[in-house]
Amino acid sequence: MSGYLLHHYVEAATRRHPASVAVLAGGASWTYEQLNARANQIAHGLRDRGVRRGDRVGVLAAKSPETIAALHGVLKSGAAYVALDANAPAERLRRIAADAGLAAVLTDSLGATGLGVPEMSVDRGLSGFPTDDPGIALIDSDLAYVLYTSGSTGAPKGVMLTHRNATAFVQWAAGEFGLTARDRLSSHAPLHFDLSILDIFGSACAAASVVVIPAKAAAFPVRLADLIDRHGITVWYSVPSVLAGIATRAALRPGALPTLRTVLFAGEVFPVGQLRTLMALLPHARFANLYGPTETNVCTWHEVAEPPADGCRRIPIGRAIDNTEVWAVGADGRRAGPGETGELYVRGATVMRGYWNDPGLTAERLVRQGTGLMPDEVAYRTGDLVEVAADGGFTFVGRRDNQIKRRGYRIELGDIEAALAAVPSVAESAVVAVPDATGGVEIEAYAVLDAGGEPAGLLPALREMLPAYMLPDRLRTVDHLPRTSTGKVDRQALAPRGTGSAR
Amino acid sequence: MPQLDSADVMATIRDHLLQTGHWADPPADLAPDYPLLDSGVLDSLGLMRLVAHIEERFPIRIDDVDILPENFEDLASIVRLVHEKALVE
Repeated sequence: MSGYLLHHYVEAATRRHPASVAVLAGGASWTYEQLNARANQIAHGLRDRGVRRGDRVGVLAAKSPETIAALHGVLKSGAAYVALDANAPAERLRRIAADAGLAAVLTDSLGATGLGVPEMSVDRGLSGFPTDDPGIALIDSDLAYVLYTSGSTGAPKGVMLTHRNATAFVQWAAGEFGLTARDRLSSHAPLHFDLSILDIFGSACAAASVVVIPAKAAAFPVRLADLIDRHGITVWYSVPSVLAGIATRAALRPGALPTLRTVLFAGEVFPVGQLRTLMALLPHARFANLYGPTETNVCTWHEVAEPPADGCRRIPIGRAIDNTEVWAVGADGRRAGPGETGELYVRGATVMRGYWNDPGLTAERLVRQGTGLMPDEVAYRTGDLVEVAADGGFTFVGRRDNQIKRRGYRIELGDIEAALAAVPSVAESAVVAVPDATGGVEIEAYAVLDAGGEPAGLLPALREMLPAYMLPDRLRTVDHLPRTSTGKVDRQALAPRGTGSAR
Repeated sequence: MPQLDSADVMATIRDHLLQTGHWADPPADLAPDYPLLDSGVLDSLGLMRLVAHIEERFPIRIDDVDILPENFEDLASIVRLVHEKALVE
């Protein structure tokens, strides 16, 4: 039997379609035979360096055929991969490397990661290693990858996902969206972001091609449309903000991008007006909203069968995917029914194994709640508030806590506050999210400085600690922070201040 | 034809970039040839905000097909684009 481990996909695709294009990136084009051979060499190379089943291996390299081979290669070696954001500050990467206890880090020609972990190149010094599948014995509950996300205490937290967590989602997606060897999938999301799982492993599952979208093109809608056209991309998957750019700024006419048959989005709320615009431009394409915190891959989905009606305020997140069960728990602890709001719980094949090195947080989020659970079984409480529709589907309405989503990235405001508090001249700080004009959110940070503290030093200090997507849009220094009657920082009093007359 | 002052255009765009959060070094280091895209100072969201800001501050319209990397690579290219657009208005 094959297909129960995530790297079985590339191996099966190589047996069935060795000469088919697996990866297109810039001018490079790799067949499945090439991709699998390189992945095997990387796996053998890692084994040679002592990497074993259950180890974690970092991948710090630009997205390329070699780097995609590295992901498959780490899995083939029996280890789990930890994709690292090359644009993150060195300090954050060192913390992640130390927390994950990386046995090795794979890197490209950039080299020298400075992580204090043995390095191996994805493109050099591999020719001596065999190109055959190493065939390491694993089971589907072994760890496949660890994704680090923003943590509320200032330390990034590692979400542990198994082979089964990923294959359950990939197999559902490949079936539901009818992926075949003739498809060309986009690879827009960075590899440390869970949208990449569908791009990389969904394409391998179907022996389809994946087209790497250069990071530099990502900001330019006309370029993105040109890439879709030129490469004949059939399935696009990204955060809505990128699609909103294509809807409004790509100079498209109705019926453009004829190859694009399926448009998938996830990671944040798609502003209804922009989705309507995009659907009018691409009447031939199928649209679907995929929902799921990193901890559950994707757990629900909603097919947007018709352009949303005028009165529609939010695109639903829909219903559970195959082999996954979701329900909402109201404030009274009972299951929320139609018309009611509650916190979304998820149970099933896509739910993570836990947070790396953090049994406390794991116990807080993986809970024994739900009906018909087996003795050791748990459900994941998402912290997301949803409204239950008459037909039983769900619509996301907000968060229970201080977490926000911006451009698909999950950000704990406490993480930014912790970074500000770590700046020596900062006496107090508070960070709030305020809505912007386009339906997204902006981050405003407030700091009270010690006497003699320099406002100009704050942003440079934050940049040393936080990745760019977490940097505040506005950073204000104030004499004091407003307080509630109980002496807590009054965030509600801060929020309207920043929005000026917009409220 | 609107008359745009080069120094004013440069200062307006520069101020906007300095205030929108992704610039961390001393303001004086944001030179006309500093690579805005490769450094991540200007990302997809920042780019859309910048375009809106330019259209609001100057009597020009930036067409979709002008939003290309070569026109937003650095401050000098953006100023050049604004002047080109002002000529055709």
